[in-house]
Amino acid sequence: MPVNGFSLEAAKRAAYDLMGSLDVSFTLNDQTLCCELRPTGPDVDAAAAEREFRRSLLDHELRLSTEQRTEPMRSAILGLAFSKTGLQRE
Amino acid sequence: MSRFREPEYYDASAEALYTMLPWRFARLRDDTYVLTNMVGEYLTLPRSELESFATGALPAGHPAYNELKSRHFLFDDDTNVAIDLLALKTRTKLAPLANFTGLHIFVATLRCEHSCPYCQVSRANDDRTEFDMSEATARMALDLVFKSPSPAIKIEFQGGEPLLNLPLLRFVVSEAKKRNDAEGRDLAFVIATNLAMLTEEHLEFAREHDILISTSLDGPADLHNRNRPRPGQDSHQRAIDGIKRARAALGFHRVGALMTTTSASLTRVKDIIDEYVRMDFGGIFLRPLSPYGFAIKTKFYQSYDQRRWLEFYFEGLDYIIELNRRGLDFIEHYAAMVLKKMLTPLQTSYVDLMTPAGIGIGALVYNYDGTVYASDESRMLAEMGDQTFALGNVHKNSYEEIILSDKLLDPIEQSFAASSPGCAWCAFEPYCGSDPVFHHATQGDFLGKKPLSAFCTRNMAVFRGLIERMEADEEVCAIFERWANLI
Repeated sequence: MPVNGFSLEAAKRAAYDLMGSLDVSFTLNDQTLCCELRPTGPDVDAAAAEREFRRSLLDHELRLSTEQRTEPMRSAILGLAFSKTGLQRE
Repeated sequence: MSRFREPEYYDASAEALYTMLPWRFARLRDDTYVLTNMVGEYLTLPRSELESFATGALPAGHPAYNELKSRHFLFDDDTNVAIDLLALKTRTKLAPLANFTGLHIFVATLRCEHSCPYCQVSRANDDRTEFDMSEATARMALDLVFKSPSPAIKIEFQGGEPLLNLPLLRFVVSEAKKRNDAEGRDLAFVIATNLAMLTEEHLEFAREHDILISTSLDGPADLHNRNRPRPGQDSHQRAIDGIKRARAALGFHRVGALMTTTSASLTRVKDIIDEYVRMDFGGIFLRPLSPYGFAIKTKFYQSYDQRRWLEFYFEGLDYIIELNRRGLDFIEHYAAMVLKKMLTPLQTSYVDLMTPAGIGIGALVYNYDGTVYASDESRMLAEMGDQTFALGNVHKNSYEEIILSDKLLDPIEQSFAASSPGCAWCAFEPYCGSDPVFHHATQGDFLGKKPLSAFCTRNMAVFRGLIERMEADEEVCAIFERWANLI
């Protein structure tokens, strides 16, 4: 299954989330990432699992861009939260 | 100075200029998604609005805009107080960690006259006193207890049946109180007992020292006696009599009860809840079996799967909600603990819902022989021959050696949810916990592969189920708000 336009990280996360129903192998050819999906057992609905993989890819791509944009805020908030714990060395 | 903003400010179609704060999302059903912020405040949106927000294109006049703003998903030129508030709420949620271990479990004896097939510890016959904790061991354990910096110390006696070793209980309570005269901690005691052997002497001792009683009640008589066999097959009658006598002697609210779900319980959830209502308890904790100890040996753990337990749980939860609608104040404790994390800035001290993991930090267990375990489940695992979470022994190791050991720190570090695959991007992470003991027991590593984890499956289903019920019904929202603030 070619998944042009998606990052490898999003594909890896989708594969991780669906490891219960799909074994996913990756091949990177030039600029194309190919994901080979194999159901983990005979009771897995392969078409539904593939649909779920595609939806998961979309979600993870959005998560990655959101994480990238909000990471400085996250660090600032955690820094502020832990700045008054008294645990830091002077 | 103008008293009003420029007209453009009130143009609902104008593109907003906002800064996104950290947030995560998960699909709730079909096109509806749950969004959570750093501290677990949530709202639900359709996918199109979620994408619009995520790409910075949500107009200021959109109904979702103010909801996202008020729940600290974004800030704009109007105010940036959200950053300070999120930092404050993050600190509040994590503050209890600094107190360190508050719960100290003393295994007074392994002796027990019950022979429950789901028991998670190996019991010994009630004449085998070599499985009793000695005063020397208890004294050394108390040294460790009072090394904990926690301002509140709770000592819980477990077994076996701890009432079978009353002299040791007397010694520990007396010695702990003596030491606490100088320490001034908030010191409390609990006896976890099946109440079958309860005597007036026990009650007098508990009354004198203001000791709480925690017992087991698995449901109506036929189910309870089937789950909890003992000579005479009268466990239920003894538990009910014991609850009544203990309430009369110690005070109504000084007695609590816990149930365990066996395969025989699965079709009986309403009967079980009705039994708790009949006995005037204020709630019930619908608990699944744990994959440890005797429950594994007797194959009780394998007797039902996660899906079946969740059906049981939600049938029970919906029944309890219905009882609340009819005016009865009655809670489901697991839901209430999760709701506390969802709806308030506070945390629960329930070890399974803590991250960093609650092992060692939330509780320490002192076995009858002086072995120190990171949690009650760690002791159960040791009963199966796996000593991974045996941190040391009160006779051989100092507090520092035990608390700073790699045996404790490695699983805590490796299982920390915020940096775990699957959990790090999960919208429900703020509500969840890390359970390195469960994942070590079921998958052989502290972290565990969450998509294959029964712990993850169960919790995700509970989180979704609670949010779905609140989204569907404002009355349920009000009921759940009350539960969150009760516990």
